[in-house]
Amino acid sequence: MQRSWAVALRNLQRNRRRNAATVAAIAFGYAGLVVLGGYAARVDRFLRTNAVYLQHAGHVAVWMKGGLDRAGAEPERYQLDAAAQQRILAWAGADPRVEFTARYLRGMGLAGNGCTTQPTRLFGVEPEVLGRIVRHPEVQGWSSELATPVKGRWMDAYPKVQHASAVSVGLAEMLRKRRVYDEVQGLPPAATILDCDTEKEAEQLAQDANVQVMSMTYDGMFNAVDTEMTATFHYAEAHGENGTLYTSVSTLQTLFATDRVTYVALFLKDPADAANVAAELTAAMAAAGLQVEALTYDEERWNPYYVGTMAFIGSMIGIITLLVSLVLILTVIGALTLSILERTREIGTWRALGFGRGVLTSLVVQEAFLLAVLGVVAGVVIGLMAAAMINAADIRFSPPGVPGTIALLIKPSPLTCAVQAVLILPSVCVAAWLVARAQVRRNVVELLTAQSG
Amino acid sequence: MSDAFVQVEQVHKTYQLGETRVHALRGISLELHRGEFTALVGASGSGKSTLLNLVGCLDEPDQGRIVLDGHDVAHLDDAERSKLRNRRIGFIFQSFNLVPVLNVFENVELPLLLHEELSAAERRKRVEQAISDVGLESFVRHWPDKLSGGQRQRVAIARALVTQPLLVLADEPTANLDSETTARLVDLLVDLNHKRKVTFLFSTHDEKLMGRVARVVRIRDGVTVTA
Repeated sequence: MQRSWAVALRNLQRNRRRNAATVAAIAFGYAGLVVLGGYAARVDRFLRTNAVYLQHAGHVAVWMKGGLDRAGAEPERYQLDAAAQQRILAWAGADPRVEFTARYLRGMGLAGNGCTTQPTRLFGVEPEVLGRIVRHPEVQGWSSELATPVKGRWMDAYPKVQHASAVSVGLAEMLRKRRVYDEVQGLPPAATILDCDTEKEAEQLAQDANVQVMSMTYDGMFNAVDTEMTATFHYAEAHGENGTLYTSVSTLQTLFATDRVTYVALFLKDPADAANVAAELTAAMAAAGLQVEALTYDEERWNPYYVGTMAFIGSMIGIITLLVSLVLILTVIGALTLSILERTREIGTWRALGFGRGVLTSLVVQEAFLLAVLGVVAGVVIGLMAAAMINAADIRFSPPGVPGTIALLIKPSPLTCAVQAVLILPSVCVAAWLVARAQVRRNVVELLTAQSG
Repeated sequence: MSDAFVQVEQVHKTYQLGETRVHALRGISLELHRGEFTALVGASGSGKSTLLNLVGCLDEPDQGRIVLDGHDVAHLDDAERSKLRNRRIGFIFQSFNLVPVLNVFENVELPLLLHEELSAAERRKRVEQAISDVGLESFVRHWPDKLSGGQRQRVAIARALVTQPLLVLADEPTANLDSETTARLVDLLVDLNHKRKVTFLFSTHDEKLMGRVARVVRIRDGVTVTA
């Protein structure tokens, strides 16, 4: 039928109040989805940024094959030796998709203050790389709260401090280290022998920023290094808050008496390249006789918190989207049913004039499509306005599993909005088709002589 | 062999009205020839509208045969009957049945929207001609609710004629009009019948109209009593 869209648009002018209400229902439903999608996008970017940068997973983490499970137990066998590190770094340095790389040495140990010790996860990372990570635009944009030290400055600000360290807030509190390196400058020297378990202990511990790190070397000897706590920080996962310490790779290598590192992380310009980079790097290393395992940031066994949380949030968003779509479908069915019942005799007239069932059904579907498009367009505007208002309100909240609070930011993603619109538009059209189909299949004389419409 | 354009042969039609089964047509037969202007006369409930609906392919007979321009309509599916209605038949309804959200021009243009072979210019020319034929040139952009009853029925006539049908069916087209308007409308229909040689079949129970038509078919209790 020619000019069917124009006729469909004209039909929408019949009962403007009802159609406006239908458009409003679609618009507010869709706006809700835009905001919800924006929240999910925000959480995704926040958690991904934390996982990749602040939990140091990188977009791709290169381990010795089997290292993820066994590097802690058998470091000599499952950690990367100097030659392997160089080979991986050389490959990554030549790949334009890689923005930068970081070597990580991880292990367990004790952090002590001279009176007490606490079990601690030790992260060895080059201070300048850590500085690059925390100042990365992605980190500053999505997780600046966790990238900013609670006290002091990151280790890269102290190139002359031989064994600088950064200590998680909870661990610093348990060690009663109230002052970071900058704050103890100019204070009288701390006592050499501390009066532990006395009333002087707290003040003596606060006189310096020294944190001792102890562990077993890889060959089984007890070893310890004195570090200077230049910063305290919130670790990006709550369970690490009471026991995480960063120091340089070389400091940890001294502690463990090794030249190995646990893994090499690759930070990419585009996270979408992660799978390809991982596959190509694994193949290239295998060709060179080095059996490595390259894990992408979205693999559950490497980043279970990020992957699991996003799967949960994705399911919730999906269910809510379905429920909203269902409500919208029922709204549209209700409105169109009324609209079509009112036009029963008119539909009979159209049929008498020679319009087939398919043409009339498609005309009603076109009307519904126009309603849905108007609703979606209005919904985008309302959703974006709501997002802007929420963002401007500077609401803060505590995400589950993350210490401290972050700003509640709604960042609608065009892709999510498009997917939700793609779900809504056909749903509304199918609803219209169901309503129209039943009516146009009636006998023409019945339609023409109907009491209603 | 009959040269009739429309042949109705021994047609029966019953329908359910609430709890009652109404035998509307009881073996009616009728022939219409090209260019005839025929009035179908009978009291309310005599079966006039049922017969018009069957001739217009809006409904199907229970028994009997209807041949329209050589097509036995029983052998046509819904799409073919729709096309036949659009291309060969024009309808004029008692209550005009104009589409309220379309203006006069658009209402008349409506059945032509299915004529994909017509360009927009050809369609416009035909619509303007049909509107001119019924004398509504100065109401082209008016909405139906701004027109009088007689004007609305003229729009319906223009809409029925714009496809250049072979047959125009009108079910009591003057029932909702005053006598003066009715007279003018019948004059118009007769004039169009002469000018366009279109076959007209209209139902009425208005005895005053009998003298204006070439042929009167009387129907009572579902059968013709004079033809």
